[in-house]
Order: sequence, then structure tokens, then C-alpha cells
Amino acid sequence: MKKYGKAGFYLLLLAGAVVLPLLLNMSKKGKYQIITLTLAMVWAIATLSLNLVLGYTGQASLAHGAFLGIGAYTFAIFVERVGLNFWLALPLTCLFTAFLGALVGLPSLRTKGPYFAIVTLCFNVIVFKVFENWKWLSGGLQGQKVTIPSYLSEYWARYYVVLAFLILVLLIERQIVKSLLGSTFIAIRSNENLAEAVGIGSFRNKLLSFTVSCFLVGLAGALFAMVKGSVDSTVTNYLYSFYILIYLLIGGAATLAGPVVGAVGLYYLLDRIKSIGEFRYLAFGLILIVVIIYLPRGIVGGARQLWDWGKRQYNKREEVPE
Amino acid sequence: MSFFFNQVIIGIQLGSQYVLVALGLTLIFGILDISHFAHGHMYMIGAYLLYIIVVRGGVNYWLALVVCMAALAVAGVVVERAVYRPLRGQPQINTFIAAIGLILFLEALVRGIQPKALSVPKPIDKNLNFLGTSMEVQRLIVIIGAIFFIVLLQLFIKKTRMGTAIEAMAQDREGAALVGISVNRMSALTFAVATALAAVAAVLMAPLAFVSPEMGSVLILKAFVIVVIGGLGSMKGAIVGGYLLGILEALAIAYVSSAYKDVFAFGVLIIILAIRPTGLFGGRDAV
Amino acid sequence: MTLLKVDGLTRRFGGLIAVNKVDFEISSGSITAIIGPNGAGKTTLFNLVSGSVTPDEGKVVLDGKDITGWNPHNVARGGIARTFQTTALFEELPVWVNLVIGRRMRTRSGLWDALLHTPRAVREKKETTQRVMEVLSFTGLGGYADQPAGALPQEAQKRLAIAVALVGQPRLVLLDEPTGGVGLEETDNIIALIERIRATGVTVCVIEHKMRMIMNLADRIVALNFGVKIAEGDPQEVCQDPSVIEAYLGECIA
Repeated sequence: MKKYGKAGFYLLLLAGAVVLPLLLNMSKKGKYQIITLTLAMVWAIATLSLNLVLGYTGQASLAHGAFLGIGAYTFAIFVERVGLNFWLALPLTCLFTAFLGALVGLPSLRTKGPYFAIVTLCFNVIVFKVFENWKWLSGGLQGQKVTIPSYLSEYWARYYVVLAFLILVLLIERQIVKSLLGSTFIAIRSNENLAEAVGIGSFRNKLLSFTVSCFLVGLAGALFAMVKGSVDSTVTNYLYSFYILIYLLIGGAATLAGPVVGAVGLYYLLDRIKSIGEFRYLAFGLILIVVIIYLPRGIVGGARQLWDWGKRQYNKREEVPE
Repeated sequence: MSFFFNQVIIGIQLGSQYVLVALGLTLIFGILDISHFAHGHMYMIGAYLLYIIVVRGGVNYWLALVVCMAALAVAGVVVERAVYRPLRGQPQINTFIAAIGLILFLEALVRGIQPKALSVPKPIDKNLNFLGTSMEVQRLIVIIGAIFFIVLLQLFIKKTRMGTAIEAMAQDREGAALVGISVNRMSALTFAVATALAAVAAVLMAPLAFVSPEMGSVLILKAFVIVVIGGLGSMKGAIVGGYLLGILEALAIAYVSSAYKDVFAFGVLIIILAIRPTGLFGGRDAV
Repeated sequence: MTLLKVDGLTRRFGGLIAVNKVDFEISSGSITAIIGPNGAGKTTLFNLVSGSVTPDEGKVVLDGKDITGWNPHNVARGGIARTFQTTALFEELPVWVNLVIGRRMRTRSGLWDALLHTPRAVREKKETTQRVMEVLSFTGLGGYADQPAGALPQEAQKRLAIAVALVGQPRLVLLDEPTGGVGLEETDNIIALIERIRATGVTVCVIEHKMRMIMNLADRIVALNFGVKIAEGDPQEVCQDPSVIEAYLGECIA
């Protein structure tokens, strides 16, 4: 019975997500809200990708902003300059980004903890500077247009496409996390030395996790290009790596709902308080510090912990002898 | 030839800034095992403080140097107490994430108030001609000032009681605690010294460049590059690495390309770590 | 039949020789104890065998195969499991997940099996669950299955570390002070567990301090002091060896 309850809950959520644009359309700023939500879902996909490599495998990558940008540009170039079919360009972009990810992972995954974070951040800065300066590749600040097939030119069509991919990515991550491979990743995160001592090759598994993660963030990048209709050199900004990290940590790493809650919630919130300008990020920074100190599992993780604690307390009560 | 010599001097000047910041990072890392990623932003705050005191307050540059050092030392202690101490004992990555939060906070704070790049006038706005080349006096001030404070730091570590306690902690934290050295006090002291050094770097450098909110970002990455390559916790490594990077960068700007100058340092890091993950001078591992 | 042969194993750390030309053999199905005062090099010896540390000289041969210098994860796959002096577990994960991870190396499911829910994925999960249940009851940890490993009492954690070593079906298990910090009654529990382990055909090598326990448990004893092997033989022999008595200041009780 419990299983049906859970499935029912998710179905309800899905129904809500499907119906939402129709409801929003009725209000004045509806179109803007829908586009914002669409972008928020793209960020959710990016956050889910980081979740795989950080939340589940314990490696703090700060290069995902770069890979998002690389995905966006690869897609744009495939569609515009190579002339590939839109739906062919998508998986090719993911594969290419994954391939680049593996190349970057090979030297950098030999470092651990904050040093891996720094090496990946350095990579991101390099990519950003290259895209800024190499005008032939990136089109600089003016960027590169992306032609979208006509049936996707409606903003709500893009909403549904992104929603479909978000669900796909959630399913992919769920499958991985619940599998024996998933337990391998978690082992590495929990105690890498012990994992090695029980026969788990940590480097090769970290590399696998990172590569799959890049595949997914490449998808996010392609969708980003699709939604915006164009890309410019700011899309590889290393600040994006920080934002994705924040969405993940505040939402709740190592959960499936956390990245979605974090990305959609925070992106939407950020947009809402646009009027206070730079000070939004001030709040961001403060919240991050507070969360990492007092609520390291994020919103969803913390809520789950509370739920489990409550359940255990309740069960204990029932065991009290007469 | 004199152009080359000129570039080398500029490189040493550039390196001086790197060394001061990297030394502070090394102290904090070597003694407290904290990856203080926000160190570059403390440097940035130091530069803005200088601007406020000198340009808005009309205070003498040299006096401002002392004030900034003191103020930043205090700021460093506050940061340690509020942000890093609650995370003591947690995996290093959590401290790193807290540092990221601090970076966002500080940068947004400054950007929200004053996003434009500002400039601070040089205390001695002249050029010096020597050995066939002409050099701005400020650059020489940076070089000499840096050497002065580096030597001061070495004397502090080797000759004073507090300094020896710091060195003891760096070698064996548990042992140091057993001998009665207070971890809390040493943490505060280390942060105070390191952040004061960042203030020196900021004050010396500010007249030569613009004061902007992002001036700390790329700097901290380079400082980490230096610390990792030079060997974590090795002060010698930080000094050699800092000057080396400065000179190489200056030559790269002059003879190769200026757009990619920052990329240079990071590319070197990735290559070196790929070949020798333990860094060049040993010390503790990034691996 | 010799399962493990250690030949001239040497390791230096700076100026200190931690393990100095040590050789001995472990026969299949036996319980061997490694004894020696603190700092004698016992744990380093284990590290050299399990691959955490590379020897400067010497060889480690497992069932005829030279495994010297192998990475820890390859040594584990080769059939040598171990526990650590400071109990190493996946602390925040439930006990049963700790065991699933311990057995992971015997499964081959990868990314595609995970994504496509292949028959192999289903089968291996089922086999793993079965094996995990077996080991849980074998080590008496059934009641703790859902609790986070770090929440268990000290002695149960020691048993869990042994369980994690066992679940991957090793041929040889290296136990580093399995009764460290554990009281008298619990020590007996663990001794009984070790004998049950031997009864299933797994070879055991134990580092221990508690002489009384070793005397009844071990088939052979290897004694180390300052990185050098000072005696080897059955418990009676070793206990009467003068250099052992000197090293232990006469603590050896027959």
C-alpha cells in the first residue's frame, strides 16, 4: 500500500507540472513565469548532474559551469554550423561533453577534496577565458544564434520538452543510485580507503561518475541553448559552477528531490528578488554558510532526517513494555 | 635586453604579491588544515579599505598601511571564529564550501555598494632610472615591502614564543595541544597574521592597478596553485613558487599574449598535478 | 598447503626500518597470530601484504601468485580481506549497506545494468542480499541491520568490520587487533567468531596483544620486534623462546 502512496504522490506532482503552464497562462506575467520555470528546470538538470558526482560520489567539481557552457556551445555549433538535425545534435552534444569530461577527469581526479575543487575551478576559468577571447569559436559577447525547429518556437513547447528531459534525468539518476554501481559511488564518498580495501577501484569509478555527470550537464547545456535561442561567452562563467553547487547543497545533496527543489526554488527566488540587485548574492552567500554549518544535508536531506528521527521516536514509544 | 630586464623586475613585483598571499594561505593550511578559499576576498576588502581611508579619508598612505593590516587582522579573526571554527573536525570540503559562501557574500556586498573599478593614487608617483631601465617607484616599493614582511614573518616564526608555538602546531597538532598550546588561540593568531599579510599585499599593489570586486578571485586561485605546486604547508615552496609564477607570467604577457595570462598559471597546475600529484616540494599531499 | 608466503619483506620510513627482511608462511585453513610490542611493525606488515604500502624489498606471494606492490583493491579482489586497528566502516550508512558494499567486488553489474535493469542486475542484487543475510546471522548482527554503522556499540562495530571483510568471500582475512578496546566477555565472542570463520575454510591471520587469547586460538605464532621476526612456531615453542620472553618481559603465559 505504501508503494502506491508514493507513486501516487509523484503522479500528482507530475500532473501539477503538466497543468501549471495552462494555469499560468491565464495571468498577465504568465509567459515570463513559464520561461523562468523552464530555465529553472534546466538548472535542475545541471544540479542533478552535479549531485551524481558530488552528492553520491563525494567529489566536489567546480567545473560544471564550464561543461554547461561547453554543452550549450557544442549544441549550437552542431545545429548552426554543422547543420545537424536538432534531435541528433542533442545526444551527440551529451556524448561530446562526456568525452571532454573524461579527458578532464583523467588528470584531475588524482587530487582529492578541496584540491579537486580547485583544479576543476581552474579548468573552468581557463574555459571561460578561452571562450571570452577566441571569437571564432564563441562569437564573444554577441554569441551564436541557435535555430530552433518551428514546432518548438512556442515557449510552452519548450517548457514541456525540458520537463520531459528533467523526468528522464531523474529516472536515470534513480536507476544508478539504487543499483550496485550506486553503492560503489556511495562507498567512495563515505570512506574511500575502506572502499579500496574491499575491492573497489576508486579512481575508475570516480572517473565513471564524473563522465556520466558531464553527459547530463551537457544535456542541460544543450537545453539551455534551446530555451534561450542563443549562446554567448558568458555561458561558461565559473560563477555558474558556484550557483549549481549552492542549489545542490541548499536543496539537499544525495537526494533526488533536493537538486530539483534547490534549483527551481532558488532560481525562481533569485528572479523574484531581482530588484535588490547584487545583494541577492549576499543572501545566497550567507545562506550557504548557515546551511553548511547547521543544515549540511540541505532542505530535503534535513527534512528526511527529521522524518526518520520522528519515526524512530514513534516506534520506540510503541515498544515501551506494559 | 633592458626590456627583458624590465619585465623580470615587473615579474618579481607581481611575484611579491603572490608570495604574500600564498604565505598567508600556507600558514592557514599548514597549521589549521583549512582551505581558506576566501583569502583572496580578504585581500580585496583590504584594497577597498585602503581606498576608503586614503581617497575618502585623506589619510597618509603609510599610516593607512598600518591601519589596514590591523583591521584585516581583526577581520581574519572574526572569519575564523564565525565561519571556520563551527566546522572544525568536519571533512575539508565543508570548510571549502563555507569559504565559497563567504566569497559570494563579500563580493556581493562590495558590488552592491560600489561596482565600479576605483583607483588609489601612488604615494610616490615617480619613475626611477637604473641599470638602463626605467621603473615606477611603486613597483620597487612592492618588491622591497614584500621582502621586508617576508623576513619579518620568518623572524616572528623562528624567534618569538607565539611564532614557535605556531610552528609546533604545524608539525604536530595533538602534541602541541598536550603541551598546553591553545588551539583556539593559535587559530585566531594564524588567521590574524595571514590576513594582515594579505592586507600588505593589497595596500602595496592597489596603486598599480584598479581596485575592483573581483580582484581577489583569480588571485586566490593562483595562490592555491602556488601552494599546491610548492608543496602544501611549505613556506619555502610558497616563496619560490610565488616569485617564479610572477616572473613567468610577466614574461608570458610580454612575449606571448596578455589575454591568456591567467590561463597560463592554471594550465601549468593541471599539467604538473597530472605528472606529479604530490607537488614539487613534497609536504602534505593534495592526493 | 601454503596460502600466503612473505619473503624478505622490508619497508623503511625515512631513517626508520619499520619492517626488516621478514619472511614467514601461512598455511591454508590455519589461524596465524602476529605478536609483538607496540611499534614492532605488525600493522605495517599487514599494510605491505594488503597493498596500502609498497615494500622497498621483498615479495608477497598469494597461492603461488606474486602480488607484491599490487593496489589494495586488486589485492582484495585476489582474495585477501582485512580489518583495521581503528575500526573502519562506512559510518553513516546502514549496516546492511556496509555489507552490500563489501560484496560489490564479486559482482559485475555496471552502468548499463543499472540503467536498463538487466537480468544480471536483478540476479546480482538478489545474490548480494542473500549473502548479506548469511553474513549478518553468521556474525550475530541481524538485529542491527538497519542502523547506521557508526551507531553500533564498540564491540558490534568490531564484528561488523569483520563481517564486511568476510562478505566478499575472501580466502585470507587479516584482522588487526579485532578485540582492541573490547571487554572480557565480548573478547570471547570475537574469539568464537574467529573459530567459526576458520571452520568455514577461510584462513585467518590476527594481530593481537592479548596473549591468553592467542594461546588457545592460534595454530602458529610469528613474533616481531623492531621490525624483525624474532620467533616463529606453535604457541608452546614461541612462548618459551628467550627473545620473545625478553621482548614481552615475561608476559607470555603458557
